[in-house]
Amino acid sequence: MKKRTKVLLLTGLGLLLAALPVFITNAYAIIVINQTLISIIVLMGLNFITGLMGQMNLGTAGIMAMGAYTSALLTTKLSMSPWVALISAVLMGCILGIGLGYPSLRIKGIYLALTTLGFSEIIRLVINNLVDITGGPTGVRNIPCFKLFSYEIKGAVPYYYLLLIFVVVMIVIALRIIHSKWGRAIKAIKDNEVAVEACGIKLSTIKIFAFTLCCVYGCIGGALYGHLIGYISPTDFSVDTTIRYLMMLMIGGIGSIPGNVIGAVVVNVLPEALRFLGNYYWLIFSILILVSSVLLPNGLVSVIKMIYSKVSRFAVKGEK
Amino acid sequence: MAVILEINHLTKKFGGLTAVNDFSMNVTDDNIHALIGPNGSGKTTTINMISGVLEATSGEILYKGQSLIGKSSDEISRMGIVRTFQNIKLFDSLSVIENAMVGGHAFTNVKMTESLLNFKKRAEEEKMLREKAEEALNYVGLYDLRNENVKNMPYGKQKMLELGRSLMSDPKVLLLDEPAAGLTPTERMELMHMLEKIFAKGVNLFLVEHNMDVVMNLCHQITVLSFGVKIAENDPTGIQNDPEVIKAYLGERYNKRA
Repeated sequence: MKKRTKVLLLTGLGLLLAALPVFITNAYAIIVINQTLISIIVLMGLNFITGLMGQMNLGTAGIMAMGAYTSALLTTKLSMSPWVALISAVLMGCILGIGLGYPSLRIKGIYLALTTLGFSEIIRLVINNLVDITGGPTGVRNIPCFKLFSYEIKGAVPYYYLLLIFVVVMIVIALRIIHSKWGRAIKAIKDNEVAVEACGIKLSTIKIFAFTLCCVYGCIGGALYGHLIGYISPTDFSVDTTIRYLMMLMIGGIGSIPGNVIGAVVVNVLPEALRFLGNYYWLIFSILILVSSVLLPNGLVSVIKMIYSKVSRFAVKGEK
Repeated sequence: MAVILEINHLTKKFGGLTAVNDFSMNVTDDNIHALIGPNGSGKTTTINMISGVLEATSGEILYKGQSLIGKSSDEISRMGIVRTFQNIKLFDSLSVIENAMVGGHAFTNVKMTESLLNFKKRAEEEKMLREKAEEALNYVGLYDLRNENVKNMPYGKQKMLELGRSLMSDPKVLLLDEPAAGLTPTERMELMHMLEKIFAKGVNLFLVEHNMDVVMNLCHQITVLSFGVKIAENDPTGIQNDPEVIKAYLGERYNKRA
């Protein structure tokens, strides 16, 4: 019964998502949705470190920038296929993950937060000043779109389907990792590092693994972002971006994949939905976020969990 | 009788304070060994050095002839020397059984990529780990609470879970840091029976304990530390009649009772 309901719900959701472009014809709305999908990918990466492992990572923007620029420069300057460039972005993610993971073995808390923030700013400044390669403040233009054999995945709607596939695959991978022995070890590190070592688990392996996951997810997100907009510049990857992701993480529910999805949707879509308020929309949005963080410290996903447990209790009662 | 743990001239200095001073001791495989002494005499520091949490200033620790100095605590744990903590260190965000399963993590061998791609192998390993964890929880009497949240369990049960978690790695030597602290008399009795059972299974026990009831009835060999210096090593009767131990730790009253 329970499993069947789950399958039904997921099929319904899948059909709804597949048919979404039929209902939403506004091109801008589709672009917002595409950005949301990319946010989900990046956010799931951040969730591994900040959500599950409890280590503050303020380097999201820098990680995304590295992914975006790797892919964008390889496709524009060396005219590589975007697919090859995407794989290069994944490799870049692995390198970054190991590079960022090592400091995390020695420093934690606020110091790690500052280190990652510093990393992010260094990346941005280097990109800004390496004019010959990166184009500096003017950014990279005319990033080509993905091609499937001879079909060009051009325009918002085809790209939406491509992103949807990416998101689903990455969610499945993330869930499989979280519900494995590795996920357990990552969560255990958040609770007690000394005890993890006492269990015979090599702390550095797990930490670097989590950082690598975070960076790979971030770089994939960044690369997909470049191909979505077709243009990237260093201003896309400022501290604001990092803060936005932390906001999504908190709003949705720390450490939970459904929470990540909800957080990304709320932070990306809600401001657009509030546009009718004119100049006040960002103010109202900020107030809403503030209120929700005070009232729902475990994120919006906790509301859904509560409703779900009430409904299932009700159902059990009904069966009796 | 074989020497399992050999500690030679072990010294630990924290700045100007000498916590453990030129301490030597042998743990043999035919007895339960206890380390006792007044507060601040360096007992926990010794356990921390054996388990690799703290680095010794000088001296050597040998496990079956192999030096433990310079090894990290996870390496030492994988060698079979597993410890518990004085102030319980559990994983609050995991359930009881998951806590035990983390204890067995280091002894599983499915690799990351296999875990993602090979559904069958992964499920088998997970099942194996879960069964082992259930067995360990059954052993420490927590099987019924296996899906409980760790935070909701009383102190005594949490201590038992820590013991259960340490059993998950099939240890050769268990270092127990005050296992009976904070337990009720009934729980203490249960613990003693359990430790005897574990010892009978072939696990060597080395414990730091303040509770004389446990130490005198359970242990066969006792080492006494005072201000970081070993003042006596004997069997329980010998320790109870040792004038220096009585003066430093047990107190005159214990003498009369004995």
